[in-house]
Amino acid sequence: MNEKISAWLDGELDNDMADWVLDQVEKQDPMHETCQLYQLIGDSMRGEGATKSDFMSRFDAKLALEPTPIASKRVSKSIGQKVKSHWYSAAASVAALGMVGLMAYQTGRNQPSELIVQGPATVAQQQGMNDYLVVHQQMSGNFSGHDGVMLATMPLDNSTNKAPKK
Amino acid sequence: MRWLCIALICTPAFAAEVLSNADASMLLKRFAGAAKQLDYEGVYLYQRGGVIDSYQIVHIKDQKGEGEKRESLDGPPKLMLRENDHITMYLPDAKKLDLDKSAVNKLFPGLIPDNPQALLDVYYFVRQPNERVAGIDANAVVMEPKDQFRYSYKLWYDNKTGLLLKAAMFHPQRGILEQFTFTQLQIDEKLDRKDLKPSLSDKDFEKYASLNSPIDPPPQHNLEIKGLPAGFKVVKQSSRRMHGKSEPVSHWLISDGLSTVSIFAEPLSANQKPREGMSSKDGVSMGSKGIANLQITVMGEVPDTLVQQIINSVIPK
Repeated sequence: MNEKISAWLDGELDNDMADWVLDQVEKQDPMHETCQLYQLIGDSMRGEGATKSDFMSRFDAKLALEPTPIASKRVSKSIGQKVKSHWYSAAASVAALGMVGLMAYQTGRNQPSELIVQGPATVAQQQGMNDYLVVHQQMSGNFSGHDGVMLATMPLDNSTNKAPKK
Repeated sequence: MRWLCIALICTPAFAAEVLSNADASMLLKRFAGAAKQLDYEGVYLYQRGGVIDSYQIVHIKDQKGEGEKRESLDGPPKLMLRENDHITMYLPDAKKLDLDKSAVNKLFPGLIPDNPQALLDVYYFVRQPNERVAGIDANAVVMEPKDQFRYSYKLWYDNKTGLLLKAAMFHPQRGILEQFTFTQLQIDEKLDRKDLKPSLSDKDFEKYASLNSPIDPPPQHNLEIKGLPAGFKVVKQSSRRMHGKSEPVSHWLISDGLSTVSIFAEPLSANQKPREGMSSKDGVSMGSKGIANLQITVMGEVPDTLVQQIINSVIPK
């Protein structure tokens, strides 16, 4: 099933098969997380974070209608009220991408003690955080920079700056 | 100190020795020097969470200086060639790669900075029992942080040459967050420049050559960083245009020589509320707050206590 989800997110399935995959995803909650992860991995590796297929948009729209309560607790009073979320037990691959993908930042200073995530973070939020993370890792070196140097292919600005093929 | 206690308790049959600053300094300089001065060829694994990737590395040092090749063995082919400070990346589909060459020079096994003084001030160095790594009887040392602002590290090394064989970063509750380990290694092989020739066919690659430290303008926003935890300092600052952002983003890179944290500042649009909060997952911590009309974001593979401390250190000028 994971292979079909991956192919679906890559736009490699015909409409009938894509509808079937969407139905399966809707029936099985754990697949929501798989979809999110595959989408983030694919987007980040292709540098297509802002591009979403029709099916992914439909999926997001449906997922957004399913509030997910996340227990949270205050960790500090130093920068106003903060929440520390208890995250999904996401597969730890690309941990940071998973984090920003499922991240739900609160706005404003009056935070409830329990955070309600209305579906995934917006595409703009995901992309923005992913871009930040890529910049961070590409500049870091040492431990955290290894992925940034050896794996990142995400464009960091609006230019592609392609060199001619050898 | 908590980790120091754990290290001592976990090795009852071994007389754990806390190294003096002089011994620790000598050891760290050996690590840094060996990665640059030796000829070696091997395969190492990089593990982060549930993902493991393997890379081949060839490193030579001759009269021309350093030559290095890193080639991914899993997933999409990636290749990095380095001649001293001249770096060439080969990728399946070249995009704008804004790598900092000083970061590239600090990849495994060259993780340790040339000047380790900052690390000596903030970590205890505790000798550990020998273990076999890549068929080599490796010495080991644990770096225990003296405060709550950084993770612990364990380093395994070849006592004969000082080359790092394995390095792991530990979360206090979750255990290993990231690790590098050689699975095959030949040290002091008679290697030469022809060994740097890529094994991959280059027909599907586009070359992105001559990476240099990007020369970006300094941060444009009226912010300053004050009161960083001991050992941390701003090592790079810039203003950069980013994908999807209409305004330049200010970026500060904070480091103690091993751990790094980034601060980003971008203007909020009219009527946009700032994000405020802290999050951490799998060792990555992230925090946000608003200052005037700016959104501040702090992130890094560090404890959330450090991100909190750093986000509080960002103040208006």
